[in-house]
Amino acid sequence: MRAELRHSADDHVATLRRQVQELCTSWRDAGRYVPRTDCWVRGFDQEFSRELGRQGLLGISFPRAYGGGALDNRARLAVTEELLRAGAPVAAHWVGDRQIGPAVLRHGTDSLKKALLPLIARGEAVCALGMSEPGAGSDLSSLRTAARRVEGGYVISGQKTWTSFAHRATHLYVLARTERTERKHQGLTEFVLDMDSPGIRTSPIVDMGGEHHFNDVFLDDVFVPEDHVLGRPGDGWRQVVEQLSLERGGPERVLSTYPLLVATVARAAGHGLEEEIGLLTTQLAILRQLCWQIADRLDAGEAPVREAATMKYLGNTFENDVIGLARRAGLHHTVDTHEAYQQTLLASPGFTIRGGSADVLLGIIAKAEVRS
Amino acid sequence: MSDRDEVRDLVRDLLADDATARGWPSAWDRLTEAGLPLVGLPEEQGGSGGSIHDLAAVVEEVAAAGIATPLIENHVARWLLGAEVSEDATILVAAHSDDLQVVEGRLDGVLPAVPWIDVATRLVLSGRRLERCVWVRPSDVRVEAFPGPIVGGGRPAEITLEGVAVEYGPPGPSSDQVLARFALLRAAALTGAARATYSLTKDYVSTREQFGGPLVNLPAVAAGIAAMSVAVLQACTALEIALERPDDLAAVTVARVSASRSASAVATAGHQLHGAMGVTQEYPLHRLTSMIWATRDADLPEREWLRRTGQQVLAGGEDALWHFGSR
Repeated sequence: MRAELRHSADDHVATLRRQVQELCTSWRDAGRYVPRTDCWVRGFDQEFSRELGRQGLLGISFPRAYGGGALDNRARLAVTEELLRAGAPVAAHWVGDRQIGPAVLRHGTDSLKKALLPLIARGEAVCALGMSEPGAGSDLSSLRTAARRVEGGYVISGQKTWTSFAHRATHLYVLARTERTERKHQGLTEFVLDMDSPGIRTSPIVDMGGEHHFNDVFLDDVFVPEDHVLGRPGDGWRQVVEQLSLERGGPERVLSTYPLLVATVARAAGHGLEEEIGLLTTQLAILRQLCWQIADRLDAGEAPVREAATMKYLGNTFENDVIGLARRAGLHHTVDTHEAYQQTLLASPGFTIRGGSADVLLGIIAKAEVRS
Repeated sequence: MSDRDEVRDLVRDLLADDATARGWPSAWDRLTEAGLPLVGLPEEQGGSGGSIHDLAAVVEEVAAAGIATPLIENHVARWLLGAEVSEDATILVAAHSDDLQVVEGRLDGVLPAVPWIDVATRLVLSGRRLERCVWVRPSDVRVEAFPGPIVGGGRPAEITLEGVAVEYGPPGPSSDQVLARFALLRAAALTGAARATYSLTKDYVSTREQFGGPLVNLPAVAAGIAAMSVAVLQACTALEIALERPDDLAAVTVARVSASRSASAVATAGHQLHGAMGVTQEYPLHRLTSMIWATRDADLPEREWLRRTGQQVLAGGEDALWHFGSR
């Protein structure tokens, strides 16, 4: 009986895969996008996100009542894997679909769920993350953005930074201090702001490749209604750690440079790179298996924090190793591959920083291990 | 025997920490008395029953106990010969070489480094140029034992066959399937030894005090422990891939390569974190290290596994890359 259920679930996963493959192929063939490195951070096309929404491929794990597909993490992984494999322009919905939607589902008020989740599932919402601050990077809990209690809600002031697509966002997640306590992990609260609230200003941070997705975000007495608080006021640290530890276990931590790997494999014959390609192929299989393991455990109601940290750590190494292979295959020396190579190279220092730096990840793993 | 945890417990109990169980041949005798070397072979062929998953669990646990045995070679040999073997208490050794060929009913070829030949009653051979498996008696071949210290149990030897009369085994697994079986079981042994190395090391750095506290309080040591944990999870994932598709040569190749590399990293880090204590005869770490070193280099050199993988991906393009060894 269980095997049968699993079998029909696998059929469903295969159907979703085909659906995504067909969509991506038709858009690519029509010249509507070119596969690129880091498509989940830099490939912004809200029309594509809306099309995914129309086809029921966003908010796949949300309940039907909120416009979702009521499917499990395995189904979502099949979709996200195929989108990344195709290098599709998914940045507009990625953060909402992956992270803010599920956080709202876990901790949001009913009115916020009703307002936001259907927008995410339709590809209409663009969510940005207001976590890091000028004085709070890897040490996130030392943040200083403050939320003050007022009638009907809170008023927030402070500065957030490294906020991708804040300049095009409809919603901004903000972690702010609601209470001054002796322990800096206490007294933090999570909010979801509408970007059209008065008092929000964004300012671009151009990256070393000349691209603009990062922003500074300035919050000047921004009013947030009470029902836009996530979970319990003051309990934000526990919630954000949960959010971060799960968001790092997805396939985008492995596949950011996959389009470059594909271009390399297509041109690598005769370069004596068989062994190196063999090694990257091996590592890809291991990392994909880890992604599925994590999805299975999430579906079983577990919190695979150590596995997710390990996957991200190894995945980022793989992403960088792809660049090494492309170099040795000479991709930087041909007209048709030069751009893809340079884009990847310029994006690469970010791989091991965003979502928890490699050193922080090792710290998390060590802590989990010594405790166990 | 279908409950894997029971199999694991049985092996652990048999090999529980007493000095007499660890030496050759007493540990092998205990395993044999319990029928464990015959797990994974059908009962109607004289085996103990159980699946390939049960067998992998036995291999993993024996390796985790740091005991070198011809478990893998003996299994593959018996698997190839099937019901034709009656002597169930003796040790058979299987080996694979694409150099072997039969010319006018006589077998020629060289096997580069076969362990355990000194305890084997039969040598069962497979290779791409053989239409099916063949077997010979060790007395019929030229054996040149390698000099010097032994890493990981049986002393390896170069074996030369010159016009040896052939005894064919039954029709059965192809030479790729034989390689796949070897690869899967090596991955199991490497994973078992890597897990045990990690647990020994974690205990050591949590209890050994220096600079006024346990070693693991030092950030560099904690980072070393984290790196070992990453490698162990990689090896376990590799083995999981192999056990999901045990007959798929691509899947077991992924597992074989990844488990080798991860276990090697674990061995290196384990010694580094143990300091000088780890290199003594008395302390158990070296048994696990030797197990890892010997197992990773068995059958085919790592570069050969990698080269075969790379060739298939170059020939098959993106589809081969994405699906190699995976769903």
